[in-house]
Amino acid sequence: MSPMSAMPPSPRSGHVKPLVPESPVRRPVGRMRLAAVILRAGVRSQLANRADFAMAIANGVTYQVTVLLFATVIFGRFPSLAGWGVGEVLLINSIRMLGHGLYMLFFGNLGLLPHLLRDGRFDAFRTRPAPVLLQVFTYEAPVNAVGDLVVACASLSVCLSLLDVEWTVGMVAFLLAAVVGALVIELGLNLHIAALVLRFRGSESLFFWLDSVSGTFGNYPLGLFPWVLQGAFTFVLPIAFAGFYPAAWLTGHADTAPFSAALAFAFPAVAAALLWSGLAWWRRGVAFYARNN
Amino acid sequence: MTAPGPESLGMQASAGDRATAGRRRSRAHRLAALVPRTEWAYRPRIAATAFIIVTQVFLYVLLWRALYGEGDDTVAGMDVTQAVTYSVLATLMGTGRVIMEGASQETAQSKIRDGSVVFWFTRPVSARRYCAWRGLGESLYATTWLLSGLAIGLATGLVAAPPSAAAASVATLSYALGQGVFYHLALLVDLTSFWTITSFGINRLAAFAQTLLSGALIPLWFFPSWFTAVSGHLPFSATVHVPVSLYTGRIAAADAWPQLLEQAVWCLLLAAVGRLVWRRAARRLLVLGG
Repeated sequence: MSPMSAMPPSPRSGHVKPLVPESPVRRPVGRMRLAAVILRAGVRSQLANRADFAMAIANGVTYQVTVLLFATVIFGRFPSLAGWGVGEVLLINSIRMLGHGLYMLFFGNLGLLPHLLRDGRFDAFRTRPAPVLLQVFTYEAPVNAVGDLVVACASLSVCLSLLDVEWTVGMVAFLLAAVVGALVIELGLNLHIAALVLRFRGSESLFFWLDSVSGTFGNYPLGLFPWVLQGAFTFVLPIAFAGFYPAAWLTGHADTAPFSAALAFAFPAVAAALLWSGLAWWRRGVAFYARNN
Repeated sequence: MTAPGPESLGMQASAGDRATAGRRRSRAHRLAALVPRTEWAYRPRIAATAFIIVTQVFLYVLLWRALYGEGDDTVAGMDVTQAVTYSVLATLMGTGRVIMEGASQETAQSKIRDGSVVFWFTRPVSARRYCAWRGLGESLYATTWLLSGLAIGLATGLVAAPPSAAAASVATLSYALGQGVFYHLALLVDLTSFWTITSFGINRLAAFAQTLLSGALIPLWFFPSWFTAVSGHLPFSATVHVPVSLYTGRIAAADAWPQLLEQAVWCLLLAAVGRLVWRRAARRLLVLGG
């Protein structure tokens, strides 16, 4: 039995009245405890195969190491990256990777949607009195996110040792906001893809595509690319807001940022818009799925 | 439950079956159509693959051109045309494969998880032959994507033609050998699930090694020379790096023979290990949920 079946009726589901309205699990603390129970159960189930568990953590590390290696090799062979130093480019990397690690920790199971659909688990989620999206997010303990976060933190510490920046409270707050922004941007974009997967079976490779494009192209100063890509990564697939633009302000490169220096501050608005649009797409995707399955 | 040995499960044809064995053998080749037909059943997947390949190629071309800048410099023995061509071909070879791996559920891992692996061993065709035919179909399907991408690349001038007819022919031969190595490597990783039940971790780890050491992500020439030298002798480089380097002329056609020989040795070695592992795997088959 999945741990989610122990979930209390959601206040939003409406049609199931709770028997005991003051039940402790309905309070926020209770929900946190419930989430912890689900997480513990998930980790225990993954620990059933120790070697696979260890490798899942190692995988988070290896994937991010590929990304860093790519950047290092590029740096070694092509030292001038649009006037940015190594530490500065690593800051773009670190913001994006921390956002990605946190995304994997809290919402990474969204990428398992194709498997949930194929195994029929998604249909079971729809019959339960809890939000479907919440059930998707808590389906499995996100073990490999630990590896992602380890590399992201390592990258950040290397970057901080290389950067010659006087960190004020405001800048630290800006950096934290930028990491949250990167997380929300990734969530928003993945929700759009999840909605497409619900509508067009077989389009799940777009998850891989987004991961690969943002992992490869989201790590560099935008000025390195021709204007077509600068526009694409700012206005079409706005991955530049999940690393480059906030890093440009923190490192004093905002004035050389393409289009406008003000874009360095636009990431909260972009993240909010993407999340809003992603949730709208998701709801329409679920509605389409419900009509056609 | 632990299933009986391969003898009773169709790994070897019984006396009664032998009469129709010839007919079956002639039909087994139709298994090669499995992958293309499955892909065709999900048209959005074909559209998504086309979209991904086109955008990836376009993005990598722009990236390498931007990195090389306006100059005609040679970096690590490669000029901008060679780097772009290497990158486009490696992307076409790598991306098509990754997408299919994610989409197809015909892996030992998924089959063991839901118990349907038993059907691999109850069919008139042995599991090893079934997977081999299916793998051939997969390889031909991936090659179709590669050739379409190559044709578009040549027509638009993004990809350079091979420097000589000799380079084109050794590259083709090397690609065929590389596909053999790729199939056997992937198979060996997948078959570990007969021992470990879940092999998600090892699969991802192997994918990491494949991406990094084959040159699919970054041309191996750009790495430090010791890394290029070591990875050049591993089986991963036989799948992408060697054929693409031959195509671009970074490895001259005249120097191709040691590379081709090494690829062939890897192919045979991995096939022999694969055969052994199949035999062992069938003996310890575990069917879940039966």
